[in-house]
Amino acid sequence: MADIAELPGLSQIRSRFLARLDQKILVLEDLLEILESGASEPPGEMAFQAQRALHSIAGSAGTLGFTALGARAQNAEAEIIRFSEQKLTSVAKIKRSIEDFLDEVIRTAAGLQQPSDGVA
Amino acid sequence: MKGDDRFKCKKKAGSHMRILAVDDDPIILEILDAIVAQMPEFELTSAPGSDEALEVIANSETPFDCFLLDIQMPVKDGVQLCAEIRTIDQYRLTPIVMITAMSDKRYIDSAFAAGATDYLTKPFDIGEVQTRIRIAHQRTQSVMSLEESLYVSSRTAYKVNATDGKVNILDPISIFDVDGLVEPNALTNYLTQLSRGNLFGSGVFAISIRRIEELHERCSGFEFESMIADVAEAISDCLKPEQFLMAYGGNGTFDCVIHGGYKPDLRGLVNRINLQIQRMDLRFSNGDPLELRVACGAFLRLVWRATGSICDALADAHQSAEREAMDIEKRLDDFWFTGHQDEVG
Repeated sequence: MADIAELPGLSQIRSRFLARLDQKILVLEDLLEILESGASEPPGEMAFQAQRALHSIAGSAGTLGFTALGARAQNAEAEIIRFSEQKLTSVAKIKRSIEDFLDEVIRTAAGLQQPSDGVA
Repeated sequence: MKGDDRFKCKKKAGSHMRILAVDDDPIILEILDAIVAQMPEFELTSAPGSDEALEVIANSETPFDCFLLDIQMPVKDGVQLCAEIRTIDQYRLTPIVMITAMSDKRYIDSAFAAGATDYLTKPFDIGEVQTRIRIAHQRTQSVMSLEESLYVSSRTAYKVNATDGKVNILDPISIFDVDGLVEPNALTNYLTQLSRGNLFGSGVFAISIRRIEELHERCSGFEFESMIADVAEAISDCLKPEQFLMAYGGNGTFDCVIHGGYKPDLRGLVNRINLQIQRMDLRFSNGDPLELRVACGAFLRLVWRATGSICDALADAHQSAEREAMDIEKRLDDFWFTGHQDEVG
């Protein structure tokens, strides 16, 4: 058994993953709002919470068949880490990566409405 | 533990390999549970954090055969947990597979140094997870057969030859509490999963004890394993503060991987190690001095190697050090033999 579609209880795990996504999206939207208001850098604790949320999504989304969502989360997480650890990226790049992730959330949600979508 | 919802275990009938999975993300634990549910010979217990995991371990009547540890966890991360599990005698040799995301790659070195034997990358490839678990299982079984003839001292555990009570010269010896020293299979797992970026600036070489056969012949089992542990300590001390991992591969040879673009001055390194060993004033148990020296083989950069041949580089480095150790002794023998002939002539 090496196919994700054959994983027992996959649809229930996917449902729980999506239910938990809401809370994580709120954290990211809060950070995005701060950055859009002209903050010169993301506040430390908020950036940490956002990174944790993205890290969690990046870890499980791909396994559950939400490959693009996982990739966007991984990219946004990497931007936050690059900024907080070495200032190797800009606030604009963090903002863009979070926006890309949130756009992907919308696309994923739209895809779930269609009967042909996904592996569940 | 009974009735505690934090720790979940799906009991299966009969005897199973017991796995403890630790991750603060409940979705990952659910995924692992679903994956292991497909493997009838395995049973998974899960814990949502490091402290809870240590509690499960302390209260478990049957020991675990394998650990799956997430790296990034709040309060105490998976690397710290790995190091703590390794301090428990019962789990010094148990496979520990780290669960890592792409952003955790920077912690991989410290995870191996803390005693991890392998790692899995998220998002999971289900077949890969099952393969890694099965490899860990095979390893547990080989360790169990090893333990049937295991001599355990305060520092090391090693395979004993049933007839003379001595470890076979070619067998690896598990040595604990030496910085940067990991088991051979952990070093191989580490190397095979290094990214191209990590390979840049990394290299391998090996250090071999000269006259190892003669020393093995003279030493008792305890003396031999103590000598290997002391040499490991000397090598580790001389390689600090560079970033390195090393493993004892048997036959008196240590395989080393070094990072950060540092190419060691091998001649200087060998001199420092030999000096360190001399200062240790090693002795046989009857008080006679145990004189030994090491030799070093070629340094091989990994960046030029295709991924599949990285382990070959380790084997090449290993053989190169053993050849060099033999060549030095042969040159010395030739010198003394020639000198003797001149004297006679």
